[in-house]
Amino acid sequence: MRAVGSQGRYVTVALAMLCTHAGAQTIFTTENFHADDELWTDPAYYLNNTVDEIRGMALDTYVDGASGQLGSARVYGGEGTGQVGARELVSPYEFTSAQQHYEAWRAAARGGTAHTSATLPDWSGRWALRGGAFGGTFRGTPNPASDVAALLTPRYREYFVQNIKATAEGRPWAPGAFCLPGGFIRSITEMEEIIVTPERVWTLGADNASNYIRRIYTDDSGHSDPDFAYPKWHGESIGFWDGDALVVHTNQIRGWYGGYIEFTDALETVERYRRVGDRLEGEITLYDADVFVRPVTEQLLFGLDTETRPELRPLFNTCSDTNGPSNHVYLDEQGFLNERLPDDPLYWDVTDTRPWGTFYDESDARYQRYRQAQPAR
Amino acid sequence: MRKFTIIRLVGASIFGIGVSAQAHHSHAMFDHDQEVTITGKVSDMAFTNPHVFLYVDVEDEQGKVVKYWIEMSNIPNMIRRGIGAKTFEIGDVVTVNMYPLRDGRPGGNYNTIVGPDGRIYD
Repeated sequence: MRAVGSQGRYVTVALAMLCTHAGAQTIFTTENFHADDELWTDPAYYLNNTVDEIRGMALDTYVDGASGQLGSARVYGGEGTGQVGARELVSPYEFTSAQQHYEAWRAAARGGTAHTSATLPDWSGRWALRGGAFGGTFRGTPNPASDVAALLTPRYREYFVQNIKATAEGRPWAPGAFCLPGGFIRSITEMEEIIVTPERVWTLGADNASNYIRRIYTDDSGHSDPDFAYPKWHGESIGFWDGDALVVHTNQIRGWYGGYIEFTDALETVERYRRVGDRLEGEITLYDADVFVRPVTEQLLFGLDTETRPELRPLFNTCSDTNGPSNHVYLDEQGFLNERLPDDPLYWDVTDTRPWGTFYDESDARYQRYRQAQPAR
Repeated sequence: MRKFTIIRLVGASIFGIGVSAQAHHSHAMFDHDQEVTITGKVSDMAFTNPHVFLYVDVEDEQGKVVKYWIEMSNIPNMIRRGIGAKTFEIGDVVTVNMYPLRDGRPGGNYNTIVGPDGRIYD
């Protein structure tokens, strides 16, 4: 067998469907995954595949660069290598909220270390995420996808299954493809440069479609007044230094799509980073009771990038270079710039908080019709 | 100018061919079971992110010029492969091997490009 693409994908998917009656229902054979809720936490439903392996069955799904490229595309419906419980995914901490977590660590650090420019650690250079897992994406998780599903509340478990099934079939949704922001998760995974001062830490990064800036206030000014809080793409971050380690609390994060799962406006996180040689070691704990049945902690590991060619320095990037401007604003018949309204077919529904969900529902329906229209083989 | 040719591929061998660049969207729109090779004149190049695009005018069998749209990788990846904004000039004759669009429109995702000096870029 081989990895599949276009017609090849259809043939392999069809063969997998024929096996429905021969074996147990799997995510690869089901005609209606919505009805399989009792199987979503069963490793056999995923044939022991990890989320990386499932997503890697499609061709060139860009999301993490490790899946689906031509040379490494996996056989659709093949057996995976996931091992139940191989990595502990739930938080080891007893805290019930990010605020409690942050305040406890801050108290343990006696309010934090007062640094001057001379005493701050040197975090200069260009960093790149190096392996390890990351909360919200579960990239590199050696566990079968069922372990990730088990972390999620029923609604988000269903969203997760829909996401990875569509992606395995070559129908992934990614914000960059629509010129939409990458969101909070990518603002961390794409972190390239860190500017450290006594009052503030900036992180800068860019993928090939977006730019990411985080401002972490370490001046003890705290979060903004709750009356004026609102969801922001990268949230609002405050932090303190515990010796040479930076601890960050982020709230007011705009709910979005984070790779293998999604998160809501309720997400709050606590991060901790410390430089060890040429590595920046960290961890993040995610608190989002709408999505996770328990808080999740994952390790973060960044390494210093050895690429030094001037032409490969970090760039400012914009997706609209390729994809063009928004259709929402247009030149009207009177010669004025105008905006589309909800009854216009090209209107962008700003109230749709899950555009990927809208995409997947429509993509599922169209893909079903496409498959059914294929000649029998 | 040479006409374009379609090479049908079989078996697993196609997956040994140069790996496609990391893209910002799925490549399901491209037919990875086929490779199409075109030879024509560069009519434009957009050195942009998330994708670099090369536009190539190809004369078809009826003598009509068809403008091919070639999607490439992002700027850093193209630089790593030796392709800069000035590597191809308008009017250069190039041969592009690509995975074609599934819907038949003239275009695809590039696999290799043979430049006017014979250099092969992958």
